[in-house]
Amino acid sequence: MSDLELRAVSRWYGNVVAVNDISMTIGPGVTGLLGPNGAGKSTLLHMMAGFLPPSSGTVTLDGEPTWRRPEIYRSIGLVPEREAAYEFLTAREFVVASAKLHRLPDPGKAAARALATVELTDAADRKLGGYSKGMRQRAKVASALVHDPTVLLLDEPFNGMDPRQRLHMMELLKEMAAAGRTVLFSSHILEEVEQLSDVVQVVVSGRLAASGDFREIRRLMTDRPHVFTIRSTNDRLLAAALMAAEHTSGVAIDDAGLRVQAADFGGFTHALASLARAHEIGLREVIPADESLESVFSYLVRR
Amino acid sequence: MNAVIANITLRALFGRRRVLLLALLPLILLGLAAAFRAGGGDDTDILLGRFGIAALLPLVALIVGTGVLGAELDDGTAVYLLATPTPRHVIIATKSVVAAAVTILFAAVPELLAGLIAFPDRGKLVAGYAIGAAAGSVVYVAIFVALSVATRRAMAVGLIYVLVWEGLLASFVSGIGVLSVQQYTLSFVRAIASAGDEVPATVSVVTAIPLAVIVVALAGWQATDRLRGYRISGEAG
Amino acid sequence: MPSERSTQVSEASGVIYDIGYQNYDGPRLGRRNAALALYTHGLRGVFGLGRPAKSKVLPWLIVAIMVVPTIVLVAVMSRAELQVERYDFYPFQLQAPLAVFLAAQAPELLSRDQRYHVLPLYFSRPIRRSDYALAKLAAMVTAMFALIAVPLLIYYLGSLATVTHGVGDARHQTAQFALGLANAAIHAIVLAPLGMAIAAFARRRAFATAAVIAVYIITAAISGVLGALPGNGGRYGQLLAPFELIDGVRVWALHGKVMHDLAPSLPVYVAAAVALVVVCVAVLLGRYRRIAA
Repeated sequence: MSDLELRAVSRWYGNVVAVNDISMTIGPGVTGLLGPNGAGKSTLLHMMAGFLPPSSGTVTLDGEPTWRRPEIYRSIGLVPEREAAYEFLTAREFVVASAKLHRLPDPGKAAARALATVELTDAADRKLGGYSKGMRQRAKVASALVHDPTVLLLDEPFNGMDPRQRLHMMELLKEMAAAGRTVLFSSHILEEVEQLSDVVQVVVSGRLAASGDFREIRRLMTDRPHVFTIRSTNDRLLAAALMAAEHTSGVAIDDAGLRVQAADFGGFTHALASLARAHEIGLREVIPADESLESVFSYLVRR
Repeated sequence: MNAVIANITLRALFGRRRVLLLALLPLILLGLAAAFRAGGGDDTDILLGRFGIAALLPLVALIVGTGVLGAELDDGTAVYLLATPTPRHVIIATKSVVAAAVTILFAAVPELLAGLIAFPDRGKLVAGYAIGAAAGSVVYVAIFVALSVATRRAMAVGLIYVLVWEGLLASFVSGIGVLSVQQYTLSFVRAIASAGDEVPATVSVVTAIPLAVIVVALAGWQATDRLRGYRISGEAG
Repeated sequence: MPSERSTQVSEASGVIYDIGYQNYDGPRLGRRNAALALYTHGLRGVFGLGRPAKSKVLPWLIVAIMVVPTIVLVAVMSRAELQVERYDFYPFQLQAPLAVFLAAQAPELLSRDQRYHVLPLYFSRPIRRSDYALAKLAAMVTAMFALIAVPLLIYYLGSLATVTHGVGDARHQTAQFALGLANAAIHAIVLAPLGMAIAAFARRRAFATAAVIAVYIITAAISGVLGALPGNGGRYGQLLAPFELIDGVRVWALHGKVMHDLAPSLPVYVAAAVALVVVCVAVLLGRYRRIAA
């Protein structure tokens, strides 16, 4: 197995702190590194990939530091964010070259397999310079996969991909994770991280703001009220009853139903059920309104 | 030496616009040689020395030396090469060899041809200039490859070295010769051609050879060390 | 309370809210002032003023290289009571620093704007594309002139203070100084367009710098080689090397002292210099007329 471990890692450039005392362990499965632009995601990825030394703290792969050790690339595949690639090479030549540089015994076959995985076999003999952004991205992924790494690091991999390509890439990453690999990708797009990751690491302004399953993170933030949308047989009566209840911090009523803010998730759900029964109101819909990463994220950013 | 790296480096070098400049410079030398032949010029130092060794050679070495690695490091393409277990000294060595070979092709070979055109009866001297230029190519390339790993401004720094250090100071301060690749090259030429003052060199070949070896070794070591520490920085967006 | 989502406005209407945006009703200075501002900004930028400290290093280093010899000369003159004529050939002897300055700072004026795609911002203002190019060119011409004129001034004042005795002497000094300034002007007018025309085509500063210096080195070398040919014909190679070309103009136009062998027909130098200036300015203007904004 391959575990990436960051311990008290900081990275600064003069006065600017890009990464501030971050500790995390990235294990098998898909981990999403989420944060706004400039939060430090690329910096973290480059440190994990051995292309940037931490100013303090340690970044290790299975216990060995990643900086200044070319051997780690036997286990790591990196898909960098910057677009530039060798324009004059065809995708096939590019991936074969990567395979050869990794000293694979059968570079041609490995390359063909990698290209097939990213569905570039048909276009493989055109020069990279003539590719669309999404195709170039796929070629980069193929070149990172060709040596069958146990760790795959992707910096904003879905940039420039159309929905179909994105879906395909997500499936590919899920497959790799299911096979036991460690996949880490960064993104500032909430839906992508939401759909793909098993574990989320939220980085804001260089700090680790939250990590784990995003629903759990949400639940942990009990000091911010949960919002529910409720539709019932008698909205107004229910609203009045809820207003009197202990766990409710706010109720709004409009055409869509009731919107209720509650401080304590567990307590509220109990109270809702018993109140509804007591007043003989039937509950039609109870929807937690902001379980999405979006609200988690905006909350963290505003913090 | 790594064939894959050599292949890609060559293709990258000859695919860019600056290669046109590369071809232009030796053509100027050959044109001047023809003019010399036609006009009856007999000053070997001015054509093969002041133009061939002092101007053409360092400029070609600079364009090639900074071209084999510099651009890739600057635009980030180098990451595809570096994210492999390939030892860094192999990368530097391969690229340096490619650069030296191309420089010899575009500077030392034209030097030979120009000499034969302009001074057909001075075979030994011309051979001396050509072989000396080839040796000088190796030293120049080593320095410029190391420079391109050390700084983003490798080309500007290299030019200042050629213009100010080798050009200006060397003519005013006599001791500087020991630190000038141009003078090493000229001393090689002088030794190979057994020429006397016809080839002005301020350094003796006995001093120049070990110094050149040290410079190449030092440059190679520095380049490798810095390549190991290549970092990608800067955030997205 | 959860935030209210804004409701749809049913009838078609629009309102512009006052969020404190203030209109500018004052005078708008127009094209001439804009060009002047560009010129001043360019001139300051060439010497690193208004830019971070790193940009000041090279230009002021060159200034020092240009000025220090004259200070030393003045000191020598006052000690040794010697008159050392320097007005004429100062820039020729210091051609390398001048070339480096031009090579390093022309990209400072031009390449940065190209690289960061700010040209559309300039061209959507009252100034025309040609104004932009000419304003920048004027800044470089002024800078190159100052680079030569200031040391000469120091030398002139130093001479007056030390070795000049009597009015006749002073008048001679002043006349020589005036000629030196004229020489400086010729240098600036011929060199600046050449450097700027080359730099205008390179987006990356390092390439522009490299190109200018490479042109300087190669043309000087070609001139040297051709000059070594027997007979006078080869000396016309000097027309290719900017500093030697200017020197020929100096000898003809300012009746300057001859310092090295020149080609037989001096007016050719002048014609070539004029042609060079015209071509370079045309190339520069053409480049900025056609550049994608």
